[in-house]
Formats: sequence, C-alpha cells, structure tokens
Amino acid sequence: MSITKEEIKKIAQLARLELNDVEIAKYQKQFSSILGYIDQIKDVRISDLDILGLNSEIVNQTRVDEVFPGEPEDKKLALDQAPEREADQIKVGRVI
Amino acid sequence: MKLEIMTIKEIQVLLRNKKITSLELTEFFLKRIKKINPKLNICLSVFEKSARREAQLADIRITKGESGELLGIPYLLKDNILVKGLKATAGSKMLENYIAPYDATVVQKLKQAGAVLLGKTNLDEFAHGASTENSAFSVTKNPWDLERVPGGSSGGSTAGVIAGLGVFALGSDTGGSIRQPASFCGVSGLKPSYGRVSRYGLMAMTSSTDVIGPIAKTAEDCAIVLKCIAGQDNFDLTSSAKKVSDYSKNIDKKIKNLKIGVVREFLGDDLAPDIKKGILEAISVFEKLGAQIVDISLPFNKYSVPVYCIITPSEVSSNLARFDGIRYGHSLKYSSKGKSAENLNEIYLRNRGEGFGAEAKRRIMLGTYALSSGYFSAYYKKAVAVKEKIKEDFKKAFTKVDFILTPTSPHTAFKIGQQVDDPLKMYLEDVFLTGPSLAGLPAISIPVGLAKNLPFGLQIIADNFMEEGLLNLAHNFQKNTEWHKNSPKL
Repeated sequence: MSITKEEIKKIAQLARLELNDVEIAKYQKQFSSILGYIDQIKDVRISDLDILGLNSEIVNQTRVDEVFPGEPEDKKLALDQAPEREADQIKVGRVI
Repeated sequence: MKLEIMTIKEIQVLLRNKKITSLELTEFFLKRIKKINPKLNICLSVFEKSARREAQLADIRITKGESGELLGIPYLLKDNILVKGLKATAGSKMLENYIAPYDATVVQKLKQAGAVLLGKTNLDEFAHGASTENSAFSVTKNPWDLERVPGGSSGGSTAGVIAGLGVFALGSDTGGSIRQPASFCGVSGLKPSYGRVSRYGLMAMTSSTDVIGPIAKTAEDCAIVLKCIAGQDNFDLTSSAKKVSDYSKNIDKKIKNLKIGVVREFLGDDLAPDIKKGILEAISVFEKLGAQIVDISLPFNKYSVPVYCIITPSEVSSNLARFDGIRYGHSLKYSSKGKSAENLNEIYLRNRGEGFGAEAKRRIMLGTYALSSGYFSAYYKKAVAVKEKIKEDFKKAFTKVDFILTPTSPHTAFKIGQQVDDPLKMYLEDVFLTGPSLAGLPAISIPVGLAKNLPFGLQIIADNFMEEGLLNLAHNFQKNTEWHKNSPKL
C-alpha cells in the first residue's frame, strides 16, 4: 500500500508534529513498507462476535476520586517542570 | 569475592553474616560504574549521594536485626520509571531536564524493602525500539561485543546487570523490551502478567500491554524482586487483586511430569543454526528433568507483529499527546510570541517536532493514521479483534500444556547501525515476544547458550498469573546448567 506526501503532511498536522522535507520523504517511503506488511491482517476472517473484542474476565474497577493533601514541596516540584510560569500558575500562549 | 558476578541470593548471605556492609557494596558498584560506564553508556544518571545515604540507612536496619531479601542490595532502574526529585528522561530530548515529582509504586516498594538505587539506565526513547539506539543521549554498547547493540528497549538495564554495574535492575516490557535485551546480554529477564505489577509512575507507552519487570542474573533473583514489586495498587486500577505468591519459596520443586509445549514452526530456517541447536539442547534438558515435550501450534501468532504494529502506535499516539511542552518537557520560548490562536498550534508543532526523535515520531504518525477517520475500522478495530484470536490460541494451548518454550530472538545481538534505517526489520525483532504481550501472559527469557561468544535466550511462557510455576521451571534449568554463569570480560 502506498501513501502520498500530502497524506503524510496531513497526518503530521493531526499529530501536531512539525516535519521537514527530508523527514516527510523518509516517512512516506517507510510507511508504504510498514503498511504493506500490516495489511496481512486483512486476510483474517473475523466474525461480529470477535469484533466486540471484549474479554469477559475484565471487570471495571472504580475508586473514589479523592483529593490527597500534598506537601508544598510536591507542588513546587510539579510546577517547576513548566517552562513558563507566573507565581503558582503555568503560562500558556494566548489562545483568544 | 567477585561482587560483580554475584546474585542477590549470594550477596544476602554476605550482608547477613556481616562480611560486607551495604555501604561498602554501594561504593564498590559506584566505583565500577565510574570505570565502565564511559565505555558502555549504560547509565544516564548516577546518584552517588542518595545511594550512599540509602545504603547507610539499610546498614542501620541490618544492625537492628532486620533481614529483608532486598535490604541493602544496590540496583539500577530504567529511566522511564519515576523517582521523586530525580531526573526521568525516558531517553528523550523531550524530557532532558524533567524532574519526577513523585515515586512510582515499584520504587516506593523497593525503598521500603531497603534496596539502594545506584542510577538510571539508558533506553530507546520512550521505550520505542529493540536496540537502545533510539536514545536521544547515547547508544549503549553490548558488554559482550562493544560494536553490537544490547537489544532494547531495556538495553541499559540488561547490559548493566551483565556488566555488573548493579545486582539487579528493573525494566519495562510492552512487546519484548525486557526479554529481547535479556537474550542479547545473557541475563534472566521476566515480563510478569499484565496487571501483576503496578504501572503507576511508569511512563505510559501502550497502556494495554505495558508491564514493569525484573532483570537479574538468575530466575531465582527475578523471583525475589517480583515478590517485592508485585501487587494491587489503588493508583493503577488495571493492577490485579490476585494474591502475590512467595515466588522463591517453591522454586526448587521438581518439574517431573510437567507438560511443555513446543511450536515446531518457530524452530524453522529463520533461526540462526547455532541458536536452533542451542534451543533444541535446552528443550532436551527439560526432558531429562522429567518434563514431557508436546508439539503444539499457535496458528494466529504470525499476526502478532502486524497487530502489535497497529495497537502500539495507536496507544503511543494517544499517550504521547500529553507532551505539549507547556506543563513540562522540551519547549521553545513562547512568552514573547503567542499573539494569536495560530501561534499556540505553532508552539505545539515546534515543541513536538523538536522534542521527539525519529522513532517516536514514526509511531505517533502511524497511530494517528490507524485511528483516523476512514481507517479506524480497517486497522485498529480489526487489530483488536485479531488480538482476541491470538489470545484464544494461547488459551487452547494451555489446556494441553503447562508451559510453552520458544526462542527469545531469532539471532544474537546485531551490529550498531546495522538496521537503523529499516524500522520494519526492527519490529520483527519481537516476532516470538509480542504474542505473550498481547495476550497479557507472563514470560521469561533465560540464557541457554553462546554463539560466537554472544549469548542467546530461551523464552518460557506460562498461563496468566502462573509466575510461580514459570520461575520454578526456569530455576530447574539453571540448577542443571551453567549458561547463566557466563559473563563477558570487561
């Protein structure tokens, strides 16, 4: 299966990845070979029952969404990872 | 006393009998890391100060009469697992300066047990790969041959154990990332059942198959570490409530009359001749120990890599969406920009375009494609259905046999750079390994031979949550052979 340069560019946009021309050409080539290989799963005949794909042994687990009081040090550690900050808030580029 | 080749079990005795202190042990490994790491690029970071402090605390506990199995034992941790206050890069430029704000559950448990963290090991970026060449920082060398890869993605952890830079290590396995490098480096590496070990604090890659597991010199050591890190965790609701066994308690049990399945198709001509011979010899060892060898077939296994090539990138594209460079991670300066909505998108594009390496981008793109409108049914939905078929294969097999044996890898470690431009070839490294991952089954790789002075492994697969039997079988092999005692000259 082949894939066009335009398709690669579209996927990169959807994935929020900036790619240069060299990368686009490389991924175009590699995608064709990987998708060609993956396509063999189309040969497998699957019934509607299989499509459900749900394992009956799996049961949903839930827990109460509790807030645990953190140490001020933990809060600082988490906030310190943000590249742009103002006081205790993370700065984001203007959206509106 | 050659500490670098000793097992947890052997070092425990030294510590208990006061032949050595944890601090002396820690100093030994720190010195060895200093000497060997520049040549092999195994550790991305080393924590001398905190390691000494942890060792001193362990020594106090030992003096007070405490005797935990991991108390005072120095270890290495894959750098995609979080330790509060320490760097966690995942081998990515995206997280080059990231400091973890909390401990992974496994780290918490090891801290309580008194194990001493020496350093964090190299990996393929975000655990994407089978050679550790995808790390943004350095290529780890295989200690057996410095021109070859250690395998991956837990290549730093497996190389670290065989090079004697730590007594044991933790890795993570999503589709073979503990077992394949364990085979290339000649160590024992266990991928526990999905849900046996909490994933809290492990950077998510493929949440439906990610598992943390032990890497050590013997299956018995893997059992000791697994007992410590396994168990249900409120912070990972996919962790299992099943009782954690004392995995080393019955490890010596005889294996007579066990039924072991062998898939003949897996021992075909794709296998290097030396490896085929070694695997057949290993199978005969189990036979001599009284096990019954039964031919089985896994007809859907041939689809496991293609299925993995859809499910994994799909989950990766979603899990790696969190890296936007705004809350954490690689970021270009944007305070001076950002006047309009277009610019926010530009920030995302640039941060992610610069921060991720080639393989991470490839997987994000493949996943985005497989999940995109118009392709979702043909790829993702179909892959999930075929995954059920692969699971069924194993289920059927385990009605006839207790365990399944396969080669871990079709060959020994390849040369650095040899297949970096062929992603498909890289994905096929895990041809025997992705099946158990997709089915959530426990599997271990143990060394069973050397081909041209390079180690190779045998994979043993067990039914869900049958780690106790799996480790018992692997231990029986190691009690009767010497392969696990080999180590490279460094």
